[in-house]
Amino acid sequence: MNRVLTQEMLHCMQASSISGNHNNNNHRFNNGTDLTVLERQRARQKWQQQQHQQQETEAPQTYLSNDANLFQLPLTTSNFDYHQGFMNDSMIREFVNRSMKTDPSLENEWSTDFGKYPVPKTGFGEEIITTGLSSTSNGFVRNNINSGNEMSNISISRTTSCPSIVGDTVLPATVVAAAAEEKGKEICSPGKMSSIVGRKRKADKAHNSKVNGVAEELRDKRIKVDMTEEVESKITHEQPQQHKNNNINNKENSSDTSKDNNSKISEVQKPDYIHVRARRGQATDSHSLAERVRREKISERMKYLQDLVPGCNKITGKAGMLDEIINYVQSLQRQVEFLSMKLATVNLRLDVNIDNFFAKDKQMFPSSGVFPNVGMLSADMVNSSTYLQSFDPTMQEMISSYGLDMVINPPEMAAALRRTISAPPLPLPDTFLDTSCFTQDQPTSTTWETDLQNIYSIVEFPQGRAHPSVFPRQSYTGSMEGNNLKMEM
Amino acid sequence: MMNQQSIRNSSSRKTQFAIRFLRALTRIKMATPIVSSVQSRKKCSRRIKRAADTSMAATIGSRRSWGRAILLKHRKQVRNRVLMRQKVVGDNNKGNKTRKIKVVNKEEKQINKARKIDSSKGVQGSVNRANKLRKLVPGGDAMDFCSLLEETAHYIKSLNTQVQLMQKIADIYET
Repeated sequence: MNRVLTQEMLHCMQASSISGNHNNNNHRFNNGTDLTVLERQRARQKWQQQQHQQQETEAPQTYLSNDANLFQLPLTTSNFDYHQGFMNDSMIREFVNRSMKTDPSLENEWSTDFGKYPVPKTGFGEEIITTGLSSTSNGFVRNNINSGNEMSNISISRTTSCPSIVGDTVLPATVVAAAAEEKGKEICSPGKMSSIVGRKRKADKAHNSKVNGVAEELRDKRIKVDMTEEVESKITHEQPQQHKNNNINNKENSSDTSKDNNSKISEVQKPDYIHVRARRGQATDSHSLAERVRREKISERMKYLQDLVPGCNKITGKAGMLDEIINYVQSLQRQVEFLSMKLATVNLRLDVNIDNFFAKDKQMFPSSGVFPNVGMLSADMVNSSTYLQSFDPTMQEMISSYGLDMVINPPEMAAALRRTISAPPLPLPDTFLDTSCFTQDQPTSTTWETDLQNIYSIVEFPQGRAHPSVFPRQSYTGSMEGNNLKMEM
Repeated sequence: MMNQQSIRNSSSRKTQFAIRFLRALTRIKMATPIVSSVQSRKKCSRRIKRAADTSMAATIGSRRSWGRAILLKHRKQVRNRVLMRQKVVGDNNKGNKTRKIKVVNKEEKQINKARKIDSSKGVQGSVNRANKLRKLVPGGDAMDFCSLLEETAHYIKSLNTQVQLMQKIADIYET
């Protein structure tokens, strides 16, 4: 059954790698994981075969099985989608807690093993959790979620089946119940599978000798890893990189439990170092790796900025680029300042005029005197600014609502309207020209209906007024006609 | 508003910015006195600039750290102003408190200045340039170089749109 499971997982991984091939970033990483995962899966299969032969039960074995689970964990974390990742985090935390708690109950060999890594335990948990978080950002396919679920379930059930812990930690009651209830049943759903695996864990626990054998095997694998590292850079850059990460983590990391855990941590951490390549002769300690990542990021962003800042293409070198960027930003800020000054003066000048103008217009002819200017405004906007087009309807709406004596508009918008409308102080002949302009524009305004709705939502008008707004415009055209008539006269 | 959120392309951002900015402009216009002296004009221009910045930041939202920095600064300013006004209005007799606050603020500023001078003196070359850039980009003080560059890119983009839009508005008003 386990074989089936593992093969399933393999399938999943392959699928993910295939789908990842579309993405250049993920490509290498997936290949790398594929290979290593294959290796590990094979090793695990072997180990499980051996395990099947032995039917005895003992505590260390269960612990080891837990380890094997941990072994798989990286898979689950890396496969996880964002939403799953969150769940997974909590699971991992639980997991870590438990695995740490089992430590004291273990037998001599393992404890000696632990003795080799006296670093504080908390680091491990943090390690896994953080990497789990980071792994959520990987763009994996959704197909993997299921497999991830299964695996996580399995791992949880396995942890729960660990005899020494169950009393200690607060378990999610459902998980425990499921594990307890469905012991005898066969597999249909992931939950059941997990429970069965849990049962098996309980049922076939092996001798210490077996444990030793497995440990040996794992060590062998690690040696293999080292070998591949030596071979390095001939096949892919990525795989050796990961193995190096392994080593680094083994050396300096806060791994408290066992070597397996170490390798697992490093596997979990892989996503952090996907795009780093250590070639022959390059430093491989974590500091220089991180530094390399940082430098790569910086150069990437520099390239992006180079595209953004005009005249930056010819300049080479970071210092020159930075200078250019600084200059550009400064110039932009100065421009903003200048423009704001300009706006202030313009508006101030207008402000003086606005009131007089507006008052006069109100007295002379309330409807026609105001509208032409706005017409000019909107026409101007249409001509001059393409992206203000969608903003234009608001103006029109303002106008139209103004036609209804500002009943509809909130006071603020009305104020805005007054300002915008009466902004350009113009002599009457000009307004005549502009009105014609505006009447020409009138038909086109219907095409803005869709935009209008957007704008309504922006300005927080009630949506229902979008269509009725045609009505004020019509009334407004009526007034326009009156205006034209007046002009003609 | 839902509609607006679903769109979220650059053009909608532009319109959003335009609306915000125009609203702020009108508000400023309402607030400023009609009599235009040099001083008031300066003040007005400063206010407009601030309005442009804040409206830009508001359209960007708190997704970017420079936007966050601007918004935070703006909020602080507003709060300070309100506090000051309250103090001044509420207890005219106890003017000491406001003075104290002012003194404290001044001291803080001085300390900050001293720190900045220290940091700029100590370094050279590209690090110096990075510090320069940090001062230019709002909220850049607390960033590492990598994110600083990212923020700068985004900031430049939005500054560009800001300049374009303000130019357009100025053109419209001028003609």
